[in-house]
Amino acid sequence: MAPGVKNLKNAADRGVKLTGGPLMSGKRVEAGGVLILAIGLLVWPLVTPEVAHFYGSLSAIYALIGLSLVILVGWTGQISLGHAAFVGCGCYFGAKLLNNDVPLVLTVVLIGLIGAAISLILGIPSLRLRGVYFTIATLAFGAACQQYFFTRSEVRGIAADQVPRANLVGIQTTTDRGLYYAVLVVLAIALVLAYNTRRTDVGRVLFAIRDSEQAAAAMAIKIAPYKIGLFAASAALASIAGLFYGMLFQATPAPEQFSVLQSLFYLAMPVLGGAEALLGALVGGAFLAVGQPLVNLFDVRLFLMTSIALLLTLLSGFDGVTGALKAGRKAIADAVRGEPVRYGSFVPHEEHDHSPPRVHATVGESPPPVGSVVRVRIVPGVRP
Amino acid sequence: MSGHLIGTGLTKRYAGLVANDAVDIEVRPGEIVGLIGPNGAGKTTCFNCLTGAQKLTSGSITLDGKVITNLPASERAGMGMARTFQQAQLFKHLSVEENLLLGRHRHYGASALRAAIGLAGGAERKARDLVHSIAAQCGLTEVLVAPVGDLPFGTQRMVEVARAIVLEPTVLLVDEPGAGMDSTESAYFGALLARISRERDMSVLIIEHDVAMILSICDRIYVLNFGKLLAQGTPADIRANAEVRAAYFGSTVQEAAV
Repeated sequence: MAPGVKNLKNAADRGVKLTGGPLMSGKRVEAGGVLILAIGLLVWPLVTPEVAHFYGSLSAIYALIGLSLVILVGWTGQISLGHAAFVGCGCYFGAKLLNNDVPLVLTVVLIGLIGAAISLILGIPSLRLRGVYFTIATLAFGAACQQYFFTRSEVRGIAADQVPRANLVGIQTTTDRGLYYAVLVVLAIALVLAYNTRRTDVGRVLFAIRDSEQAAAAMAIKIAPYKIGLFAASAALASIAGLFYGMLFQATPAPEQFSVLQSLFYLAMPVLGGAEALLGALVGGAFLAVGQPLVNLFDVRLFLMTSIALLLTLLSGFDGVTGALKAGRKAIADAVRGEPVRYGSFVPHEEHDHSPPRVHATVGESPPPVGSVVRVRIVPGVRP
Repeated sequence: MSGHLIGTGLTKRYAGLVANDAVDIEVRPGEIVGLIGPNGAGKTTCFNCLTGAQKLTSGSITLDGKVITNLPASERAGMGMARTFQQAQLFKHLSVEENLLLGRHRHYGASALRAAIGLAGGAERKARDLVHSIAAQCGLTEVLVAPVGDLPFGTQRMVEVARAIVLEPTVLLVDEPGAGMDSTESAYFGALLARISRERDMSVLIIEHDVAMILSICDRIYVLNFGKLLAQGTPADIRANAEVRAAYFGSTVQEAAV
């Protein structure tokens, strides 16, 4: 070994440091934020008029759909244009179960299983497809459901069926406020499951598959079960949202409510709210639900407003609202500590000099032989 | 002791091109074996066939006596075969720690359902403890929380190797770890690899262009040229082999053999 080798250190040992400080690494800041949000979500219906509760329920239902898309789009990078069809399945089959006096708790579970089962029919053959090809398969599925499946009289009925508002264990759903709390319970459970999954093995595996299937396979990861499993979980969530959607309107809406266009509309949620944070689903859901009555005041179409909001989000470069909040927090942390020279999250030097360093290198004259590597040693430092 | 990898008559054809032609290669338990050859000699193809990333045209592979010729890459990894890639393939959306934790996938020991309802605390702690100790061994402790895409290139390569070691493999295949490192760094890296191999009873197959490093750490060396095995033997044999000098070392042999 060459002399001096034992003194050589890895980049990390040479003093490469991370930005951050208490504000960025503060678990307490995050936990406090979530606690305040939870209390707010629980308390607001008690102090608002009844008309707001309808939109609260709708927000929570949309947030469930948003969550199903956040885990699909944000975790695996796949885009589905068939999710409205899953919402439709949940709505129609849920109405049938509730009309046959199946308790709501059981209905939620059954609808989740039905949604997952339907997703397997689509997912097993098409999840080998990647990127846009998978999206096209879901597009075909969504269109087929709307045109052929949902129009059959045994699925939706001839006209809108009544959907009863059953109780969720002890929670009365006859008022919109009660239904809101019922959906909130389901949403909270889904958020906790998703949060736990994200920060343990399965969550990491899903991101790994998204980044490099080849490297994931080299980590002894069997890829297909994870892709299919996550798609099924996403479909189950969307179907459960559909069940509550029917309960909110107390009727089974027309198949057009579950069209491919509606799926596209749903996809605005992870984009607007942020696909990397689970709470992005709440923001996106509230936007779609509350957006409708707001834009009605100004006599414009929600589609137009959504498109403009989408455009602004994409131009801003942030990962939706939650991404912007995160960036803001980082900016404050930097402002407190003074802004260092950095690459991404790395601070190679503590000084605040942004001018590019000059490099002087000398390379031998004769051309190197085939297969050899020319190595240039860069000596960092200041020359007076 | 395990980690005995044997490839017999490995042949890989792409349409008209023969990338590997009846290559016989063996990595015995605990050995560090080098695979060298000029660019385009078929080293990485050979690697990909051994690890299952590519399908062989003909030939057979065994690991610890079991035939693995037709197993997919994930199952070979599950049997204790780890690898790194020529272009580091890190999971760029994840932090260094999460990248390393993925190496624990096959030892994780908590089902998806248990993890979802929050009962994977024990498995998670165990995995993190092991990851932290290996990160310390590889000098990565300071950067554990960093997004892996933000790291300097040399550190990224180290993360990839550490991730493979976290798998607790019996045989590790390393594809050109020295690319992008200077000669001191690659010598340091070679020494580290040799130490880890000794401590963990792990056999190693390594592709590398830094001949000085290969000669100093390997027990045996295979030389590939135009898809065929040109020579094999101890570092001393290889250094003395005239054919190898002509095909590979060229005019730099004096410098390389130092």
